[in-house]
Amino acid sequence: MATAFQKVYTQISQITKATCSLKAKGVGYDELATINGKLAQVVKIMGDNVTLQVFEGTGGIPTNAEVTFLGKSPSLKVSDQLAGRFFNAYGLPIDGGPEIEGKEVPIGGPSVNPVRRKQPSELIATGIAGIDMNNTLVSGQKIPFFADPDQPFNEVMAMVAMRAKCDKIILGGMGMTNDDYYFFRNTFSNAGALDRIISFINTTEDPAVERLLIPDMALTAAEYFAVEKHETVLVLLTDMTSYADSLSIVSNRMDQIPSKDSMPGSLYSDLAKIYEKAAQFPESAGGGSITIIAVTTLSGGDITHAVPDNTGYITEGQLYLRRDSDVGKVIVDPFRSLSRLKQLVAGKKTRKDHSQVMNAAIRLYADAANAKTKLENGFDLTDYDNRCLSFAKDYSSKLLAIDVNLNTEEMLDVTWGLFRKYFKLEEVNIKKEFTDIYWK
Amino acid sequence: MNPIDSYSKYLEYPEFAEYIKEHINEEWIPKVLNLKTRMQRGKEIAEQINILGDDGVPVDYHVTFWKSEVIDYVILQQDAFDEVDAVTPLERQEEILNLVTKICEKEDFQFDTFLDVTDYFKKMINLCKQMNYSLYKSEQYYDYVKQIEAMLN
Repeated sequence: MATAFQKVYTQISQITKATCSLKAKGVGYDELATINGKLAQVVKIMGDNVTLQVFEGTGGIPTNAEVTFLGKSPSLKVSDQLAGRFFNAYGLPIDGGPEIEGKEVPIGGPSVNPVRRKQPSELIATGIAGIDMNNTLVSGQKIPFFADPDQPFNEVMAMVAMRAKCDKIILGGMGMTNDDYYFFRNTFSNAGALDRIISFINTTEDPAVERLLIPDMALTAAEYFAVEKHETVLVLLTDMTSYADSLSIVSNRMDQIPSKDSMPGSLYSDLAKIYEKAAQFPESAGGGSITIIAVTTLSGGDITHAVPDNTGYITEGQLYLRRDSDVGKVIVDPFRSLSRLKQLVAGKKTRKDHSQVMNAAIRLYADAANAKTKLENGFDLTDYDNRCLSFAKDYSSKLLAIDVNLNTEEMLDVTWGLFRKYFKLEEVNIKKEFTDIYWK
Repeated sequence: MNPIDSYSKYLEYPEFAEYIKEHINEEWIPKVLNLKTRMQRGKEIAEQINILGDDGVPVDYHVTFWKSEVIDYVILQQDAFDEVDAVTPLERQEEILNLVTKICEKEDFQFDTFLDVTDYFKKMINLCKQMNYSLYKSEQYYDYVKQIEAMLN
């Protein structure tokens, strides 16, 4: 990669497992370099002592290796040619296709100035009632799935992506198994949607540290389509816990003092830098939006871990998946999930009875949970308790389950149907204005 | 908001007592304290019912419990996403408080089983909720007040 008149350093002063140090001048933070052809990035500068992090590790690098600085931080070439392609963490094609021609943009730039944004107000319909009815998503929102590693979060995310009406879907895969990679690839191509999907993939085979580039690559592509092409862009990031794991590896190698759960002290800023790129642009600026749906895997459902904890402060809610053993399906847990932006669209972009139906259903579902405790403690159930339990089963399998596909009107109608089937009018406690229309 | 764990020291301040006496009336604070006690009693009974079961406590206990539920549903649980219910001026708050106090102070119920208690109070709560959703002093509003009064007689 060395070009004419480019300075080549050949004296490495120190080599650790992941870094090389040498004396060099005129280099900047995050600048890329090659060491005997291996890609590295500047992570520390002390005077003229520069530490480079070698992405694939320092194995096989001699002290007299040739080091050249590339004079730029990681970048991505952006143009319409990105559509339908698969890339690695450096933005290079991995699908055997040609290189992209276009404007070269450095990744990881600042997020859009808040004064240039608009309050999110467009509904993103997913067909899953546990999301659309109880935790409605809004374009320009940032929201993660909190899920145990064994839960089908990638399947749900792929489903959401296919059903959401957006112009581009950008997938950032971090520490993905090849199975997951092929799953996404097949799902997208089988649905004939490949032309609106762009993927940046780091699999478990690739060096772990490379995955730190993935979210910035994905979001740089997203900003191109949203800002310059005024498109609605959905960014899927899976999984942010393995991204954070890489952060901790790097900070450890840089001799930073670890914070809680061996995460770097900058974890909050590192995550916020990514999530805050979600934005809705006003029509006056041509529209366009970036919506981020991420996955944060939990270890043993522990939400007090530094990663989900910090994520929860940044994102606008979270979606929980839970296996409901009563109906044998994976559902979106109505008690623990929350979309903080739902009231911006519920009853405004959806039918007017939306929030009342949602609240009534969740209250009755909570009554069912109490009835279940009563049953487990060996008490007699009342007629109301039994009706609640039957309602909960139907509600869980017909609405909360992730295999549901209904439009927002249909899900409200189905819920009204369940109300009428199991309850009396006064048990549902919904405004008369709505019961007059829908309680038939 | 947890109505039992949350508190405001203002209810104890003489300055506030003076203020509220002028702006509403001097019974306001005793009425609020009365409802707070009823909430606490309701919680204690709910715990009893959890341990002993619905049949393990006297029917009267269920009445006390459901009265606390009325306070919770009708006064404490406002619908912040409803145009009418989200905004409750002091005058309307006082009327609601008086009505709920009236419901709580009725003692001469004749229920055979706890199921009758539940049915009665669920109907009552629903009427109160509908009243809360109605425009203040509208025909509909007074119609619900009438229906609630009828249930009390």
